[in-house]
Amino acid sequence: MNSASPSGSPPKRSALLGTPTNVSEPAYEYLLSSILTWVENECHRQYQQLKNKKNLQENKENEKHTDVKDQSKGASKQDESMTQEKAEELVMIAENAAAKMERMGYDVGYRLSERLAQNKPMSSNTSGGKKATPAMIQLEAVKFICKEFWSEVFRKQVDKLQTNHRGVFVLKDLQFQWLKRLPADVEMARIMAIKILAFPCGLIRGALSNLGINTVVSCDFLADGKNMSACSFNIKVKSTT
Amino acid sequence: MSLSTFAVIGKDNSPLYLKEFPKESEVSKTETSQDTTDNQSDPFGFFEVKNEINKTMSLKNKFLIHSALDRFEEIEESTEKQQSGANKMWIGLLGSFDEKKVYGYVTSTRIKFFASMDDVEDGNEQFVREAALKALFANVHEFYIQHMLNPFSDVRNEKKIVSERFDLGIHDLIKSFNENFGKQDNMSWM
Repeated sequence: MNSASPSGSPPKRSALLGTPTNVSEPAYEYLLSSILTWVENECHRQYQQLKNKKNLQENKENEKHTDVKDQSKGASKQDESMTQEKAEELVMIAENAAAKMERMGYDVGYRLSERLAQNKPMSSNTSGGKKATPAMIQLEAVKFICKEFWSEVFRKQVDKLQTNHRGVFVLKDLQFQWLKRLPADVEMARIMAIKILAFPCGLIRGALSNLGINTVVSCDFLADGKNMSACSFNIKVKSTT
Repeated sequence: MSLSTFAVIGKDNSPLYLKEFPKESEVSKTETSQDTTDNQSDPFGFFEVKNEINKTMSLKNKFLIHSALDRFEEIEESTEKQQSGANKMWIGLLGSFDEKKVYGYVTSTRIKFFASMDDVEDGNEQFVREAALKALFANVHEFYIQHMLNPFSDVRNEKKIVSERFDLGIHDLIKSFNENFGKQDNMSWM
């Protein structure tokens, strides 16, 4: 048996709370945006690699058929398609990057909700003597996100929760922490904000998925020119079939 | 009355972690036989024989966990067990199968913990043991969370837990549990 075993009971959370773990908000925002930049560069690089590979293959094929191909025809057409291709390329890279950020958020949310739900009993199947409907379970889980989860991550609760009781929830946060420091009325900031919001979308999706609810989360940006930090998250529960 | 089996079952009832704690008499038998084979292949101990973490369980104990899982689902369907507060995760005695008592615990994220022990009638001792078992499950829960919070653990698909830290933690917890409660088997005839 290995002697380096954690003795007895695991270290309690209260013991860990004593250690300074608070990171200043700007530092965190810097981290988030550098992750974003890194992810984007990574996606760009991957895409280029893929393209190079493809080009290499195409070139090989072209070498075989050089005599058949007519070079002079349609040179201007090629230019046009090139620019279009370029635009498509950028969109694809951006989407890949967003998906990656979302997945990172998913991982974090999934793990975090495991911890936050440690002492929070959920009404699994029954509550108050009668069977809980799926809608009730969903509502409880989303409330958990709005209160415990949000206050743990953002030190505030969600401002507004709306639902149609049919599996769609809208969480509105009028003072979203991570966007508070963005300048108003700058186009770049708006683009940046949308990119950053992929991460909290993933957070929500991950946290809910650990509580047994599969969802699709998208975000809307409620910027009104003065306040950049208002946003809403739309949660759509996937039917469990 | 020592704890003989411990299992962690995932959300979709996949086995995440299975561990057996054979009685000391059985352990010594198997260990001596292992030692001889080890010495033959590796007389100087150059090649560290790694304890296989989370290897499979005997069929008998697997069946035990299966029936416990069925019983767990039955209990959950019915409304008979109404617990509230922190006790909600504690399911308690799931039943006796094959001379073993199985106790259960479910987290709010639908991870299930099962522990089995010999089925012996010993009156009041049972309540003390159940209280200790509750504490044990809570500690295992903490270990599980720490395992989950590790950024290198897999969250996307439920895989067997191969974390050494988790394994050692559980091993120690159950060892200390058995030291406190296992003695009573031997004392009972006195």
